[in-house]
Order: sequence, then structure tokens, then C-alpha cells
Amino acid sequence: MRVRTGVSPRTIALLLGLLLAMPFLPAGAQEPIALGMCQSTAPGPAKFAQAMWKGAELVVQDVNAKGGISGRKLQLVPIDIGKNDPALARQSMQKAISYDKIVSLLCWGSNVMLQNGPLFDENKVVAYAMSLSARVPQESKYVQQLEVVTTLVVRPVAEYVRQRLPNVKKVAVLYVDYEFGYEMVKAVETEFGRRGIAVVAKASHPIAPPDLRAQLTNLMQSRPDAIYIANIGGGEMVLAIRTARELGFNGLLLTHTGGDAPDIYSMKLTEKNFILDAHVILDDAPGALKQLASNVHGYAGSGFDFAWINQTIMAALAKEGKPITGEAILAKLRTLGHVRTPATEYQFFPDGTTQRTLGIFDVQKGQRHLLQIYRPGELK
Amino acid sequence: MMAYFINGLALGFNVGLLAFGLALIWRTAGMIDFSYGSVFLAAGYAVLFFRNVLDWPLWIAAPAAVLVGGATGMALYAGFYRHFLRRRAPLFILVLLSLAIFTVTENGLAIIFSAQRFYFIHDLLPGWTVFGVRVNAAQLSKIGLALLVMVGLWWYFARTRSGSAILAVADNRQLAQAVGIDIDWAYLRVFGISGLIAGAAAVPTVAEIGVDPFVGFLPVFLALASIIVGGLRDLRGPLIGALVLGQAFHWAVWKIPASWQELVAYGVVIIVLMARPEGLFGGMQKFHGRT
Repeated sequence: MRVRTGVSPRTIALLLGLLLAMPFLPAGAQEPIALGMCQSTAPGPAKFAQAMWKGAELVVQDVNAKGGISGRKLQLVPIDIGKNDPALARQSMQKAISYDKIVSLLCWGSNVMLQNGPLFDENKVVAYAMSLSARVPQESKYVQQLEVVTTLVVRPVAEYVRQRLPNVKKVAVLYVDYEFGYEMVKAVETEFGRRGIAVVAKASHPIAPPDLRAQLTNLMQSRPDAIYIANIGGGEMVLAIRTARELGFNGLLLTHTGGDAPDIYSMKLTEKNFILDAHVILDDAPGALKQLASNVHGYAGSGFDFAWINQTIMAALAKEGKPITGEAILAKLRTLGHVRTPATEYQFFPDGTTQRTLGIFDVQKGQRHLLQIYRPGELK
Repeated sequence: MMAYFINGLALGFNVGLLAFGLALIWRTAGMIDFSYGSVFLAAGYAVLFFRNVLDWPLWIAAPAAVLVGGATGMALYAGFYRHFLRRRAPLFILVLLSLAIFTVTENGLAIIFSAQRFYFIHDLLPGWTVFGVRVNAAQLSKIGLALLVMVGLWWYFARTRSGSAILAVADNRQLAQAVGIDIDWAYLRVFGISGLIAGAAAVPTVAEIGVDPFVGFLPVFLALASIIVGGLRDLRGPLIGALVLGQAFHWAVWKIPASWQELVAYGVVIIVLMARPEGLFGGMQKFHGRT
């Protein structure tokens, strides 16, 4: 008597065939290499966060189009830090580390970076800091600044004023009531003071202030020749510039890299008596990056560089047969020293600090206009 | 010194405008409406949209944005508060709800539009020198609007039937209902009028300082503080309270660091409450059974 199994011979042959062919089937898609990028809902950083993301995307798309790194695609992972909230940042970073397996991240906010330093060290994730605070690289082994510290961001503009604008003898400072603002005030006092320019008044404001009239009226009473705007950037800076001019201050307005944005350049008010130092995107940088920096924010270059430096190091590690981990990336990074990306130049130091090319700009016809360039090491 | 006084006056009138709207809701519905900030933001983003995207001239965009404020106020009432007010929900429920709506609005706008501040005027506003201090068109509009709204509200409540009906509801809801006043319709009008006032405050503010999702927070809290300082007995209370706070806000930085600004301003609130819990002009005890 024959027993029917319920499975046809054809099906059995198919399953057997698949079993035998399995070793020859292509492997499943390899896990991507994840890079974390902070995204902020604070009014100042929101704009440059978007620019940095878009800058990084240019590199990621290019690398992935060429097959990735040893077959592994690059992937950008957003890390929500709210309004530069250290506690929220910690949660988001933890998730990105545990779930998305990021090996490296780009972030800012002195408080965010300082309070999450232990997280980077525990998990061996390289944290590139756009924060200007000098304390940030001191508090964590795994932090490497991509931005210069407050002293170095003030130094070029102080030097430029000393050399080219000798009539400026008194400076007042408008600063944000935050770690960054306090360091900027010290940096302005140090750098301008060294050059014989006195800081005659200081006034602080909260993050995202609705009104700056009281503060600027206070500063103007000291009759400064220049006002240094040391706030986070974005809308705060536009408000400061408009209010200062509205209140009748016609002297020099100075600011830092946070002012490197189209909404600053599109203001007619910045075409006279306004200078800033900002990141330089070199002439031979990719056209798409230059356009992004011009249309969105100058910080697009930093996002581009973050992704470019990481993919360069990862490609080198892959070639050497080494695993792509945060620890390996940091070890490689610290040996590099001088780095020339397609956008700009850096000098990375083993203590986590950085010098990079900065330029002094004014505004002409709705665009930033380079007045002087300072390469890494030129302003020691 | 005149600069502090003039700028403090302008801030006071701006806050006073918002305080009228908040006071109207507080007096009638008996609730503290933190979602007033959402109405302010709706009108602010509306004028930005009408100017920057649709390219409407300002004389059309501004009133349209004010109407958006009115519509938003009514929509919030119809969509959320009506349900709770009909059931005579306790005050803390209404306060929590309004706070939740405001928080959702702020964060929702940040997600949709990002937290960047946007402007629709990219140059200096036209201005004039008053007692040696430059005052711009937005500041003068806020002063003018605050006075206009104060007179308008007085006329509406004193001279119109619907205004009288609203006052009746504010004084005694049950009696008003008993004599046939439609409570729901009265509340709808209150939220609508308050929304128009918020819109009228938002447009010159956005013209002056731009708009981002968090720009409504401080004015609304200052407006609330103004009501506490000035009292709710009549329209003078919130305005005087706002003028006092506006001066405190600006004079605070005259001799002491600007970081003390909010401490000084809200310190005034504490001092007034300690000295006169009913507010400078009284009326703060008029909570009808919601506490």
C-alpha cells in the first residue's frame, strides 16, 4: 500500500535545490555605517543644523553611489536634542548608539556636549563638536572639535580690527545668557584687550529674546565704537542688528561664525559697518557645497567635512583590514594632524582642540565678501 | 533714560493688548487660557505666509492675519474647550488642557517649519524720533491698537446687546442661562473677539521681531502677569498692569545686569500680590466656583 505524504515531488525537488544553492546566493545587504547628526529645535541652531545635514548628505550620497565603504553604505541618523536640552540629547544619543549603532556623531551646545561627554567615552563614539566652548574637549576623551574654541573665533576679528580699523578703541558686548555667551565675553575681553581695545560695556539676553532694546540702549550709553554680538545666531542675530540700527547705533557691528547665513547677508543693514569671521570654503570646493553654503548657511561646509573626514578615515581602516569602530576612527584622527578636505583645512590636535581656516567677511550686494583669510596656525 | 521709559511704554501697550484678550476669556469663561499663545502664533505665521508666500500687500495681509487669529480662537473653543466648559470641568483641567495645546502648537510648528525665526520685513521699520528716542511704526501701532481695543471693548460691552449678554454670562452664568442667553454662543464670541485681539497684537510684533515657534511664550506670560498685577475689575486693570511690567522690564537693566530683567519684572508681580492679592484695581477674587 502506498502512503501519500501530502508533499508533491516537485516541491521536494525545489526545496532541495534551494538548499544546495544557498552557499552560492549573494549575501544579504550589509549593515550600513551610521553617522549621527544632531538636530535642534532651538531657534538659533535650527538653521545651521539643517545646513550641516544637507552638507553631510552630499558626501553620503556620493560615497553610496560609488558602492559605500567595502560594500557598506553610509547612513545619517538624526539625533534630536530639542532646544539644546542635555537630558533629551542624552536619550536621543543613547538610542542612536544602541539601536542605530552610530560610530561617530556631530553635535553642538556647550551644555549638551559637556553633560554627555561620559556617554561618548563609555560607548567609544567619536563626537565632533561644533560647540565653541574650550571646556568641551577637556571633559571627554572622545570629543574632537570641528569648530574652533571661543578665543580662536574672536581672535581673527580682533586682529583685523586692530590692523585695519584703528579708530575702533572701545567695544561693547551683547551676549547670550548661556555657557557659550559667558565664554565669548571672556574671549572678547582677552583678544580685544590684548590689542589695546577696551571692552566698555556688557549686556546679556536670554535665549530667543523677543526684544533687545533694553540691552542695546544700555550698551549704547557707554558710547562704544563697536558692538560685538555674541549670541547663538539665527533670528537672535538679525534682531540684534536691526535693533541696534533702529536705536541709532551707526558704529561697527562685529560677530562670529553664527552670522554666516543668507538672512544676515540679505539685510541691507549689514552692507555698512558690519564684519564677521566665518568658515572659509575654498575656491576648489565642490560647486554643490558652495551653493548650499550660499543659499542655506555657511555651516553646510562643516557638515560636509564631518562626513568627508569620517568616510576618508573609514576607507583607510577598511583598506588596512581594521574594524570600523569609534575607537579606531579616533585613533586614526589623532594621528592625522593637518587635514585638507575639499572644503577647507584643519589642524587637529591630540587634546581634541582644532584650528581651522577662518575668514573675515563683510557684506556686499547680498553676499558675503572675503576681506582677509587666516589659515590654521597663523593666529597663535 | 527717556529711552527706557519710551521703550517700556511700547512694550507695556503690546502686552496690554494681549492682556485684554486673556482677561476677556478669564472673566467670562473663568479659565486661564495658555493656548492664547497658539492663537498669537497662528496669526503670526499667517501674516508671514500671506506676505512671503502669497505676496499680498501688507494692507490686505495684516487684516487677514487678524481674522485668522479670530478664527483660531473660535476653533479652539469649538474643538476643545466647549466640551469641558459644558461639563463645568474644574479649573486645573482647563489650565492643563490650554497648556497642552500651547505646547503642542509650539513643538508642532518647530517640526513643520523648523525653529528658525522668519521675517517679512528685512529692513528697518519706518520710525520717528519722540523725545529723542526712535520709535518705530510697529511700536506706534501697538500703542494705537491697544487704545483702540480698549475703547472698542468698552463700547461693545456698554452699548451692544451681545456685549451685555457676555457680561451677564461673566457675572452669573446660570442666571444668564435662565433668562435665555445662549451660553455657547456667548463663549464662541468671546474666544473669537479674543482671537482677533491676539491677531492684532501678533502682526506688529512679527513685523518688528519676526516669528518662530517660541516667540509667543514671553508676551503671553507677561500678559497673564499684567492681569494679576492690574486686576480684573475692568479694562484699566490689565492695561495698567502691563504698563507697570513694561517699565519694570526696561528699567531693570538701567543699573543692573540684563540677566536680572525677568527676575525684576516677575518680582514686581510677587510684590503686588503680597500687598494687594486682588490686583491693583481689584477683581481678582471673581473666580466663579472653578477653583
